[in-house]
Amino acid sequence: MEPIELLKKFKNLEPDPDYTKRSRNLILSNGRWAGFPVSMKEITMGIFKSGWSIALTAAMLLLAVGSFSALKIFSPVRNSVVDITGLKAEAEAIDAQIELGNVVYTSALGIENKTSTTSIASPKATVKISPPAKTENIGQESGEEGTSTEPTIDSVLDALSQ
Amino acid sequence: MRKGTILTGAFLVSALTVTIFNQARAQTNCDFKNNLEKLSVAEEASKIDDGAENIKNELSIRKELLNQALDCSISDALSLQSEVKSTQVGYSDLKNYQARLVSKIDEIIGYYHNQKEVVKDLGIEGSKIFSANLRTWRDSNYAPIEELGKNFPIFARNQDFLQTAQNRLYQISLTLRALELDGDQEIGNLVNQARRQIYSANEDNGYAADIYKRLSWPNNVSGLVLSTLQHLKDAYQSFFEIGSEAQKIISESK
Repeated sequence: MEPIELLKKFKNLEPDPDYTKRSRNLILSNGRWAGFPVSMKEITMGIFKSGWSIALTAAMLLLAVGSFSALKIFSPVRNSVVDITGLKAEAEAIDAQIELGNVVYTSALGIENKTSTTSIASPKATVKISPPAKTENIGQESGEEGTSTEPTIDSVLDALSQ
Repeated sequence: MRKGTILTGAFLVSALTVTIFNQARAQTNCDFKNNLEKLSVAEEASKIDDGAENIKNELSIRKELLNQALDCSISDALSLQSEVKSTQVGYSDLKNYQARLVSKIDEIIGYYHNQKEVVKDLGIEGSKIFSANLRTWRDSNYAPIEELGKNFPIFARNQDFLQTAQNRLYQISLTLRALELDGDQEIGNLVNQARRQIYSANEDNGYAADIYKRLSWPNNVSGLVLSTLQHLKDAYQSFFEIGSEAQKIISESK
């Protein structure tokens, strides 16, 4: 065959239509489309493997946290509506404060006894004033019969003013 | 366990305060018994024989007692001032009350120092008048400040308790709404009860604050700081009851 005729034949050459389609898809998908790279068996095994690893991670996290307690999950009211532990601590702090206040309050009654005056504040909180103790002996404030207390500054001044 | 710790702590603080106070008094010698006995003997001697020697002796003992009473008064005032100064105050109003109290106690200490100068020139009759006047002055000037000062640490701490109780009420109300329990009549009544108790606590605290603001006398600041706490205690009782009631409702609905 003459070379000229051979070249003319080349002009009429066409690719296989199926090959054309595959090649076009391959170029357009930028290399992503390449059919199924792995078999279904491999995919199923992969899912199982990752599932186990997730479950294992979750178990490790629970162990690491350590304070997991079923009670906490099944008693939501005790933990959410009222924080009993916190409330108890606060209420006890108030109780302790009342104890301290009572000490001052008792001595305050003594202070008010000295002045024999009335209260100006709310009626709800009015302090009852007991009758003032009389000074019987020099430098000694007598309260109940037969009992005596240490002489105070005021009792000394009372004694000195006589 | 926690209650025990708190009470032990409170007891230790009180014991420490009392110890410091007593130490300060001991250094000043506030034991009047010995001098009072001497005075009694000297007065008897003057009654029998009012000679110059006996009068001089009685006057000397009187002046000694007066100086001792004044020194002891200064010591008491300093202890009180220290107690007020060492109180932790977080609010600006409290800082103002604290500064005014400290300044007022300074004035009192200054007065006592001036009176010590007056004692030097007193005679027997003069010492009697001086003592009566000093006693009256203490009743109307020192006693009010003493009561305000001794209650100041409690009053200051009450502000924190009030804030905490208000926060608690807010948190509980929100939780009840989230759990759709706020419509329950019994719970609603308990929440209102707690709200009223906190309101009353605030009201009494407000009266006490007004007393500190004006340093007014007469007052019942001791009663007010205690009634504030009592209202708060009642509010906490209501909180516990809300918790129990909510628990009951949820258990029944399961």
